[in-house]
Amino acid sequence: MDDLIRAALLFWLPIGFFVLGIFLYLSRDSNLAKKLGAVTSIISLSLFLISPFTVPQSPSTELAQLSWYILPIALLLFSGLYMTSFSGNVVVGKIHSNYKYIGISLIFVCIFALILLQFFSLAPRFPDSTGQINKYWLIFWPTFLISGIGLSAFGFVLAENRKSMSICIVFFIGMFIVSSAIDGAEISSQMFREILWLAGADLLGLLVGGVLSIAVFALVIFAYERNLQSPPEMDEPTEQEWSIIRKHLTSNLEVNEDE
Amino acid sequence: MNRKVPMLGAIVALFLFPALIISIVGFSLPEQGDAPFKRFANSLLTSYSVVTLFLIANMVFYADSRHKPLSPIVGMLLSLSAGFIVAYLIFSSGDIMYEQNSSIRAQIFSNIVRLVVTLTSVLSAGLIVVGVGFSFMMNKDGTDNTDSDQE
Repeated sequence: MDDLIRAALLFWLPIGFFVLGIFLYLSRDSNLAKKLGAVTSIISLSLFLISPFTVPQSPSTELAQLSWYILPIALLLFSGLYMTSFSGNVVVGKIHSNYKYIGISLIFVCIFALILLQFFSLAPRFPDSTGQINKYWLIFWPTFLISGIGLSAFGFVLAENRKSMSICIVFFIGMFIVSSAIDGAEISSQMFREILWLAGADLLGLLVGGVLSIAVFALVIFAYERNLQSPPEMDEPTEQEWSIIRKHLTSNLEVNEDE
Repeated sequence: MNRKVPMLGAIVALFLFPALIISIVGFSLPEQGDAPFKRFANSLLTSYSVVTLFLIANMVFYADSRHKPLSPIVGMLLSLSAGFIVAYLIFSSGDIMYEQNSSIRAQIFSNIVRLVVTLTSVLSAGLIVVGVGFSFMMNKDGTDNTDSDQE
């Protein structure tokens, strides 16, 4: 089979079906459609994850390989944050307070794993054993740090509890300084600084493009909403209608008092 | 919340600020050449296209709910016009689209994968920030987040 068709069938098509499956699962009311969406997403995700073996010729499958590293860390991190949050003072879904310590440990393990990937010999590699570090990891790490700094600053201004956001800012800025000043086992600080400018440009392009698109559609909606006719004015209720309203209100209040 | 929340614009600007500063420094470094600008242009066009596709799909639902059947077409035409203007401005500054890719098809696929990676990293950072904030809020000493009516 031609490499291009192979990549289309075993890498790009599963990505498309994964998005379609998620859309079906979230947007449809019927159970059958939801199940179909869930099954489609799971099968597509599996095909996507094994694509470095099924389509090793395609450089895009490095994304799938990066997912092997990022997905488990993200899942563990999510579990840790869930345990820490829901072992606190919550009404719905409260779990035992002992889970708080397990949650905190999981968060530290995940952060430690990310640091190991960047600074030690565990950086994601392409499975063809060329020894080359996954190029998408080199995009992921600086973008993660830049957006982390921006989001923490955003949260610092918005949140009432500034202590948590201060911790996040210190973590992200600390990692940023360490990455640009200290050489890792395989990723040098020079390499990080070279990619940093591209990551910043990438993030800025993403935000500007997204905002531009939203602005265009907001303009369309604004134009339509401005031209909508105002609803017809109604006459005041008659005495008979007022008496019906009073009757219903009184009966509702009586039912509430009985309860 | 007893504290006055700052203007939304200021908050959004704060989120944009680190990326903006790093990009400006990157654009002005002579040894970087036009690589940061190429990346910016590719990223802008890719994210514009993807978000536009998503919003056109939403415009169909809007058209149904507001009885405005032409709204997706008007939205499409307006977004195409804006896209053409942006693309013209970018292309007029030279042959900037290709990075290390030899064809436009390879460049488009590479742009989509990069967009996914960038989005994943932003979401991961967001997960940490929101999660840590939420954990602190729920574990604050001396407070009870329960509703007194429900107890």
